[in-house]
Amino acid sequence: MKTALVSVILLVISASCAMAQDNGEIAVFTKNKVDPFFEEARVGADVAAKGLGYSTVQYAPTRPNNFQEQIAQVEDAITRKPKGMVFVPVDTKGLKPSVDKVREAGIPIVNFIDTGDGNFNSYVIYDDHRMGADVTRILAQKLGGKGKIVIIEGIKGSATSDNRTAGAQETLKSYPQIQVVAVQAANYQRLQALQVMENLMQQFPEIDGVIAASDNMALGAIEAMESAGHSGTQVVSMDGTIDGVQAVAAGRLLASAEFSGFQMGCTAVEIIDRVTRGEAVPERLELKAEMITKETADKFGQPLEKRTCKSLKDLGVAS
Amino acid sequence: MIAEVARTTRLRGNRARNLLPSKTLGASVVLIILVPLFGVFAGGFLSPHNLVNIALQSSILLLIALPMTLVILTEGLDLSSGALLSLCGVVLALLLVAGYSIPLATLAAMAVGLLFGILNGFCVANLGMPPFVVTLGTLGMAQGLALALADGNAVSGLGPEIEAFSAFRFFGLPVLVLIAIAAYGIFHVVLYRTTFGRYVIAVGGNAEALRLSGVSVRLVHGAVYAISGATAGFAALCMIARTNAGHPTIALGMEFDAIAAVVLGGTSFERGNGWLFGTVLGVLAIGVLRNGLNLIGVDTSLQLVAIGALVIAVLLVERLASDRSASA
Amino acid sequence: MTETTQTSAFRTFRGDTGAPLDPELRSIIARFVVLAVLCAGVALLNENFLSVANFTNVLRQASLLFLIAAGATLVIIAGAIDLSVGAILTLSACVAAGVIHATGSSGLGIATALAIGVSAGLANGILVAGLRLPPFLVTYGMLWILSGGALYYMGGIPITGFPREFRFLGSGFLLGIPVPILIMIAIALAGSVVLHMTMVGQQIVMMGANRAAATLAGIPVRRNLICVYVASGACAGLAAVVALGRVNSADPGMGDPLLLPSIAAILVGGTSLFGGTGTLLGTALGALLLTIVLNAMNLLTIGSAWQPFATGIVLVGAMLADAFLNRRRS
Repeated sequence: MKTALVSVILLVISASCAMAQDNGEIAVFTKNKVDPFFEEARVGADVAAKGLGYSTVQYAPTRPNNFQEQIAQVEDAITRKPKGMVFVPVDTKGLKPSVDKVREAGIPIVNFIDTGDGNFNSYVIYDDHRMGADVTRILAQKLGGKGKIVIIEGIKGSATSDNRTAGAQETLKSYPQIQVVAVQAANYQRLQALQVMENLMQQFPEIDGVIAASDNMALGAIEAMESAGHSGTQVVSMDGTIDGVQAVAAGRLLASAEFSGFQMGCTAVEIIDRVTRGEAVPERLELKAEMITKETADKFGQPLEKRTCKSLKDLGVAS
Repeated sequence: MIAEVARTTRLRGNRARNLLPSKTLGASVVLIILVPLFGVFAGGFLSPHNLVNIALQSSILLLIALPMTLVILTEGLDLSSGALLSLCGVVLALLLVAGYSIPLATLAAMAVGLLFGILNGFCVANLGMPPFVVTLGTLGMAQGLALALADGNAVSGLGPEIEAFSAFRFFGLPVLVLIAIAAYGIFHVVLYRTTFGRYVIAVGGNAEALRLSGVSVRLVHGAVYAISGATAGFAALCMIARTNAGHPTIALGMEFDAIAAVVLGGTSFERGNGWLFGTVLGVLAIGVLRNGLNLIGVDTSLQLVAIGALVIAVLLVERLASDRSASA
Repeated sequence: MTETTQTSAFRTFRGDTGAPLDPELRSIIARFVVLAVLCAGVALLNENFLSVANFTNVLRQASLLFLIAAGATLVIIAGAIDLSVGAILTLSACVAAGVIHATGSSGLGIATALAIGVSAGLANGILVAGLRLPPFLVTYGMLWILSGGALYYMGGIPITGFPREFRFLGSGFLLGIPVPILIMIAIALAGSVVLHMTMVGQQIVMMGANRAAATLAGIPVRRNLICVYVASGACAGLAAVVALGRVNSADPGMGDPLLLPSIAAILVGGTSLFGGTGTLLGTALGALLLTIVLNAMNLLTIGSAWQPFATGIVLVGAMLADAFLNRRRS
């Protein structure tokens, strides 16, 4: 029994030791291993790191979105002395002491995806507020400026969800004939969004439009409506996941917005590389979210293996 | 009639088992194997800095596991500890934001925990309801309250005092580690040096004798849940210090980790036998495993498997050991 | 021991005082009454509640909860517990999804889900019955291992899109009734028959009531324990198929939020954690009760933050009611 245990441990260790690369290691922190979006971010970071000669080590809490675990992982990662860290915080306010510890250890750290309150070297994000506003405008125009809609939020309190919802609701103020009959959270989960939509359809027999904070949830809502034989409700969402893009191309989803975790991962790693070489980096980089509609759908949603990173130069950032 | 026979058999079994050494192997074996292993394969594992980290990372779990040991000694369990910690954390955070001082807010949080603990204790001891069910119910209630009070978000903006508190170090040890050590000291004294502690051990092992000697078994039985609740309230202060916010769902599942730590440390569900220091070893075993795996950079999915495998492996070792000593 | 001797010993266990109504029947009737009152109350408050569409939704959601909890009910009646059911569902669903995408065969997918459920149940059973390890921690350890396995298998990306025939079990209709509801009825009936009318069923109840005496009476305790764990795993595997059919996607987090509600459903249904008493019908009623409460909260737009609170209250309420009912008898 004990020998079996030891051999398993040794196997695990050898399986996870990365191949030594010239330039050292970058630690990548994501919120969980359950949401496919973070897989895109991890792959993006890996691809960029490999291209620049770094190896990566990936950290995600075993209990999804568990902040206490993330703090412990940061502390342990510091002991590994990586060349840099790329980090999306589970909690955007409470991470400050952890980030301070990282900086004190002399390790550069870049924040990506969700803006956090910490002394980061740089931030790579999308403007969630603008994203929410833009897709909402598409929906409002499709509805001819009137109708009843519901908003399905992600995780209340997460920066992306709150900002996207805020963007949506502010835009709707310019369409007084559109009424928001309900705002409910589905924690970015597809099954939950499905059940939320089912219940909402009971409460409000007439729903003309749905704004979902993520493609994953929109697809859950669409499942609910299609099984109930409801057609004609327009759904918009954000993220531009592979599933989402397919749904837009097929006409099930009206529009989505490109929230490329892959690109953010790439760019964050590139910025770390610049910092370690002593070069200047932008303090804050806001990537522009392109709208994904039926006409433009074929430009998006490539499988992860085929994607390439746009370098900082491609994005128009001076070196 | 048969029930009568069964009960007497159990009591007799208890006395026999009290003569055998309690099962202390589990967590010790884990530590003896893992520490050198990680020392060799995980760079920096044995550095003082990392060892302090392990202590720091285990401190809050220990605060939950210590009262859990008492509860399990009375043949119960408290599934609501994690949710209570979260709820008390939210309450504490809200009070801090409203401008109350840390000591006052902590007392308030402990009061909330105590209230739920008393509710648990009453239902278990006075109404005779199964602890699993009662504490599962209180889990739901506390969780719901926490979410409602915090309005789904984390309560932040707690002010600089908390940051100063969490950054405080004495002899190089972070304040949370010192608190955990002090907590262990207190629980050790209470359990092994006070009459109350003796009653707690007796409730699990030989409640009849206790009743016959005129002690209110119900009071002792219920008190352990009250202690568990109040301690969760205090642990909330530590959690807030660590995460700098009051999260309504931060400690979800922590009670299961605590139960695992207690049982791995040698306290058993069935017999009212227990070892408080074993709980410390159990908590450290979990902390060492997670820390070591992080240092090596093991993938999240394999970490999950490792933790589960650890639990089952330890149970197997304990079973083999008790079989051997039973037949010896 | 002959069959009749075992049965009469069983009656003595249960403290059968010859009262007019079997205690389990009383508890079921009480729950029916509560359910009826609850439905009436909610219907008064919200006119959409009693609509066919809403009720179908409720029954469908409750069936999934019931399926996960069905096998675990037997485990609890037998005096043990299974904390790994949610993780078994997750792993079964994920691997089945992968198999379907790889082979295109729905039949193979269903078989895979059931096979994984059965294997996981077998592992639990062997550890608990064969190696005599404590059920709580063993199934808790298995929960971690199976969750990790699912996470590893999926590599962080969900699997979406299954063929129509496969989805039938989750989102199809038969004679106008959603299939999950029919599955719930079928399993509840079959399980109840096994539990109340077969030798094995009676043995399971006796084991839960008093393990030591059951062993003395010659009951094959170990074999039966393994059987109930296998049943629990199989039900979780079946529930995985239904869930996949419903959501059309598999991800490594799908089963986690279902564990505590499934245990709550079992407990609310009147099954005692001490073992020795309980019914599958009770679990079905428990699942219905909990689902209706949550549905009502949605319809009445009570914030979702209060849902765990409501679940807790229902649980404690059910326990208090049972304690009250039983106290009056003695």
